[in-house]
Amino acid sequence: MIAREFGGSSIRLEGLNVQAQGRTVLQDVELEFAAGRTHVVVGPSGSGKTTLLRSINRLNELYPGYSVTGDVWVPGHGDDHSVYGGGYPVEELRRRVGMVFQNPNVLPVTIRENFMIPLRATDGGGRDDREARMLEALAEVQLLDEVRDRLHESATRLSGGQQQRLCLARALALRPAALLLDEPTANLDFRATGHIEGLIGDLKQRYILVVVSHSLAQAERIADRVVLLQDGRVTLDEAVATRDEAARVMEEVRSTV
Amino acid sequence: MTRWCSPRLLVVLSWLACALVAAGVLLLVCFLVVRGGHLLRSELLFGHVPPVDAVFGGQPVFQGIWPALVGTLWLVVGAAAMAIPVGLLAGVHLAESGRGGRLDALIRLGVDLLAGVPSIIMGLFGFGLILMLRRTLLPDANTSLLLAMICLALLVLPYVVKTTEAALAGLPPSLQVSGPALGLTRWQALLHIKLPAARGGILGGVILAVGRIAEDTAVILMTGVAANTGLPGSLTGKFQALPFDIYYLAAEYQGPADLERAFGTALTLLLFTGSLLVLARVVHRKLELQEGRDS
Repeated sequence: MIAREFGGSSIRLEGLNVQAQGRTVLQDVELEFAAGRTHVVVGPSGSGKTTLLRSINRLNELYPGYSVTGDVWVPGHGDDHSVYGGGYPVEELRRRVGMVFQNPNVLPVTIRENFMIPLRATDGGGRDDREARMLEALAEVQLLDEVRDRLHESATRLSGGQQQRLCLARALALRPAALLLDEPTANLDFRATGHIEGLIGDLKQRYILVVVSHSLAQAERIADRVVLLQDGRVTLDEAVATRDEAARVMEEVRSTV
Repeated sequence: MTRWCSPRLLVVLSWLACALVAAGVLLLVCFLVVRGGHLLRSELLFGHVPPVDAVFGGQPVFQGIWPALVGTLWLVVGAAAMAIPVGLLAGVHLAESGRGGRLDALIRLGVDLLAGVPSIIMGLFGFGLILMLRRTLLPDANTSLLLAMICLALLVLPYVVKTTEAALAGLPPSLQVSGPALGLTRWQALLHIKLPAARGGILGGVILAVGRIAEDTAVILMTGVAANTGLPGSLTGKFQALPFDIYYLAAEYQGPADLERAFGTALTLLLFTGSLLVLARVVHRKLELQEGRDS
């Protein structure tokens, strides 16, 4: 297993190139995502935002015709692991780097089973430990009070916003180091969107957080750092410390796109 | 859109089509019930033999359709036991291999061809197989219950393969990536997420296959069914089956009573396949409830 010390917990993309069916989707991407900040990736559709996220947890490989050069480093327990150097099991990688999708992909089983299936499959401790992890994760996304008495009900009966928070909790129950959120609020109403955005502010303290957003307004609200992708290249990468700065950076983004 | 296919007209036509289907089923069932319903007594099954003696005492039944019912049950159990595991695994393979290679294309072609084989041809195949075996390896081979099971299994195999493949491939894309995104291996994702989610569709294919095994007449006609042989003695012996009994009674009836019995037998077959359907539903429901309680 290739591992090296980085002295901090961050995800590093080094000279990343991704090709899909011979077409270049990402080119020479150099980025570092550190814990403690919300990184928001914006860009026109087709600019490679989703591919960027999926190249971190190797999800692109589920689709035919993808090839990758360069490398990604993710923090393991202690050392950092090379994603594409070989030797780091893909299942372990995907537990360390959780992902939430645009459409809440709850499993069509009970709320409890949504946690138990992945926890059992990935050795999430004993029965009591699994239960504790589920409750902890549900509390972390502020869903516990809403579903405490209906854990045995089908997860598909929850509202869209609740389902999305369930997906978030399910990823958290696997004890990840990082969370990748692919347009997590694109299909939610404004109230649920507000809830998720609030959670993002909380979670960034404990996890490396990379959010792809379709909405510049949202990026302005939640971003500590903005990355703009255009035609597979990073054309802007700026930290924003204050709301005024955020507004200025978003203005810059609007003028370039 | 022209006024001819206005939405309202479409709605009316859809209702009419549904009503037509319902009326067809109702007519068929009513017809069978009127002609054969009064025969649904133990006499139809067991003739003049006391039921307990026939079922547990091994007393032969000549006037009833009990031997045919048991024969059909054997056929269903035997052929399903052969076709369902093979069909399930083949369907899973085809769904999981994605576009696959040349071998998968060949398998698909094979399944399609098999699905297009008329049942009488499948019967002829079984018959030809026995002729060949008699001339070569097994001079004593004869058409039998086992041969009929094998041929019926081949006949319904494509149903199971295709419905399994379609049920898995038809899962929403979000569900396809759920397993891998949660760190499950391909096998775990299949076992814990995809197969349970596709269960309804797969069960549909199995029901279809079982119904087809129970009702097929052409295959067994060529592979060892007979009239009045009694309960199936062994896998290598002749056997009776409900669909053939119906055919035999209706074709060669000696009097009105025999014809009535044919209707009674038809109703029995319908009840038999109907109860299989209900059983499948109950099992499906049970599984779902169990999932709710499981942790």
